Amino acid sequence: MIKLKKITIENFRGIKNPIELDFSQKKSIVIYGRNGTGKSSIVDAWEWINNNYKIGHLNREGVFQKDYPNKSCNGNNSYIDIQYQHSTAASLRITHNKTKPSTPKVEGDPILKNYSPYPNYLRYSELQDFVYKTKTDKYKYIAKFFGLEIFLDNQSELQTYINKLLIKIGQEQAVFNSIATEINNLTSKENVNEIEIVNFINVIALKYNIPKISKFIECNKVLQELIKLFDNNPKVKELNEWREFKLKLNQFYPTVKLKNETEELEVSFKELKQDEATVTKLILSNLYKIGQDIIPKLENQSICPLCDTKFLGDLEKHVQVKHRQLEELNKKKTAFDKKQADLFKKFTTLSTKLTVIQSEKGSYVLSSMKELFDDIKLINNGISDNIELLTKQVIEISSIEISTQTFISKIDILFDAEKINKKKIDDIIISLESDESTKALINDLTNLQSIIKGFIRYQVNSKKLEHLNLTSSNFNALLVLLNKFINDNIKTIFEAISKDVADYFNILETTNSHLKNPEIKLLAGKDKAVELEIEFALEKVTPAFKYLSESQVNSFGLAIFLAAVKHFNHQFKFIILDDVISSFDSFKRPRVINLLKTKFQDFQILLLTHDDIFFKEVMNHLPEWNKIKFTGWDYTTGPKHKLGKNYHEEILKDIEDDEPQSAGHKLGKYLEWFLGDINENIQGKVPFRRENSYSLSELFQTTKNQLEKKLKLSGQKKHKLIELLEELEKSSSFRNFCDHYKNESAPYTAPEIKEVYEKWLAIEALIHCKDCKGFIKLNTANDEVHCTGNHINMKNPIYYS
Amino acid sequence: MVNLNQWLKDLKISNPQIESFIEIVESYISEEGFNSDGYEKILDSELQSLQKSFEKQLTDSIFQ
Repeated sequence: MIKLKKITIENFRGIKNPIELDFSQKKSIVIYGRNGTGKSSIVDAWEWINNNYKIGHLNREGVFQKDYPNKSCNGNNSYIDIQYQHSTAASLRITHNKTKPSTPKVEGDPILKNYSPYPNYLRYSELQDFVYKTKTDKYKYIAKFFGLEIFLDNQSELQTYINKLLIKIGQEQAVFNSIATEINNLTSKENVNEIEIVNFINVIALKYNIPKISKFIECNKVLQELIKLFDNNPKVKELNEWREFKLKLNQFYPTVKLKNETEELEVSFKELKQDEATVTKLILSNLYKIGQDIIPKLENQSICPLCDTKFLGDLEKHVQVKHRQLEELNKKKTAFDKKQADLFKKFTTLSTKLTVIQSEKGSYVLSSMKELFDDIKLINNGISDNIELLTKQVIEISSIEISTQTFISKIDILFDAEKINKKKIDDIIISLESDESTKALINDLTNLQSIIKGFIRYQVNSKKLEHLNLTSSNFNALLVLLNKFINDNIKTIFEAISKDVADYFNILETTNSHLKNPEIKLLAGKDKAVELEIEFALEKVTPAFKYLSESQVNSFGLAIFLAAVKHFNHQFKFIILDDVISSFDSFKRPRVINLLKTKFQDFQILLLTHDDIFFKEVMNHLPEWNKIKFTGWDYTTGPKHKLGKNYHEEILKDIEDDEPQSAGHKLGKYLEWFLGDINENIQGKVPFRRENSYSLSELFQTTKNQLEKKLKLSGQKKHKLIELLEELEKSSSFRNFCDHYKNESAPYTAPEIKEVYEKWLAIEALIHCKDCKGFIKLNTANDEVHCTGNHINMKNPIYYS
Repeated sequence: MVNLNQWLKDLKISNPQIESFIEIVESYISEEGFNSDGYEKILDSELQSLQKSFEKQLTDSIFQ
């Protein structure tokens, strides 16, 4: 068992200066503050240390761990410190780690986490998710508060992975299908299997008297025999050579003539060479350009600022001319460089193609196309001899004479001979193919090689597909099991807490006796969805939304959260509720207080609200709680806060400060609220009034009359409570107060208010139970008046003097 | 509260038919759970190595 003593937060989110939350003496805390005063930073800090140093709602908005510290602290000294009461540990401090935000510094004993395995904080926004979102979101809400969030994350990752697997399977299947089509085109069969492949190979084997094979694995025997036949048949060999050479030649062509380009390069070079001495001065071109702008502004133009020597002529004109000349030269140089680079590229490309043709080994081709191969050799040597020239700078080259070299005219001849060369090869192939047996042997060898290669690819892809399908099926099975695990857990947990959920819902929705006993139903056949069921007029109704208002669904969501915390976190009884009452109508809010008061007496609660009236109600119903008011927020300090006061404390302070009007106003409001509650408890009936407003006297009179009626015992003297009520009623101070407390023109004094207040306190002490922390109620079953826990029975003889 | 690794351990006992598969999953699972991107990379490398080894096995058995 663990109990909180104090939480201190500094430099975290909206909090700058340290905020201390005092939970000592097992107390709970209520914090009031308008929106934007920093209340929720407390919940963020709590989530940070309880959710693997992540704050879910911020992460979803793209705010990550490095951004959690308060902006002004630059990541330094941002921490939450928790002091607690436990047999072996006492404190825990988690400090933001600026260099590695995902791994904060942990000091003390992190035992706290072991005691609150399930989320113990609930935000208004989360409750809204439960109300407004889909069945799937309701499921997520429930799973989160049942401690199954990590399983949900994994469920989602698994589903993503399975989807990726499906895409991969589709891609591999497409490759597989295309291989199968290629094989089917060869075999002319619809199916691909080893028998069909072996049959196909055996048909070829049979044609050449090669022994048949019985398994695909033996295919190499047929292949080797066919290659032997091929090698031993000169016609076949020749045909094959020509076919392969034809492919090479098709890749060689088209090519380009280069005579004109080489001539142009030579002309360009000659022009530049004439200005060789100036070429080195091209670098000065920019300087002359700048000079043109500067010189007209010079007072003394007799010294050239560019060369720092005397110049007797028109310096400005001189520089202009120089610059123009250099620009002209620059254009020529650029043109030459481009031509040189283009030719270099063309030489290189051509040389690569020529090398491929030169690699030809076929003896038939080499002897028949001797002239072509001689030309190619000559061209390639020519390129090799001249290519270096095309990489040099102008000043490094003494002359360029390429266009007149033989290899250049041979390139043009090669270009012109494209059609002739191709036709010659085609004619040879046609002639050789006219011998059917030659043609068939080559085709069979080609088909045999293709089918062997194809069937190997087919089997490899088949294996890959098999692996992918098995993986997919395994992960699907895992997902089914994970879904079942989550659903079973939700079901089991819900069964365990269903009584509490129904109880809490019934407390929150006490006025509607037709709606009760809510239940959660997992939707059959749907992995991640839940539906709410409710008992309406003794009949189970699904979905409950048919009959539930938004506020009632809120009650359902809050009941689930509170029941889960109570059920699972029994070793660390602590709850944070951040503005959850915002979802409830004002008349329902006291029921939240009642629920916490009656079912969570042994819990430490941190209640955050921006509702001033609710804050006061909590203070009145739960006076022992610590109260804090966040009065504003400032960049330099964070939340501005002070201790909150309840009505009693405020009234006493006003009396002490001699502020009778203010004290009276607060006392009047307090008595109205109190008498209204008591009348509800004892079923005192005030006259109906359309505007729903009652004077203090009316409320008081109704209370007194009803209590007089219910506490009257035959043979007993007057009840002590009635005596006190009469004493108050008779006092002139009270009568004056009742008549004038809302009328500032008829003042009353501080001693008068003090008298009324003290008399009232005596009454309140008699009807308030310190154990139940509540007031007396009428039990209609036996007409007794007692507190909820029956510690005070107002008909006990001790009350009759 | 049951954690993921414990769940997988229990799963192996109750589903012996997929025990070896769960062992593979366990070996790839990080503390934070499954990671679809990470597992996809592992699968790609598995497929590549499967292709290489099976292709070699086939060609060796045919051509040697």
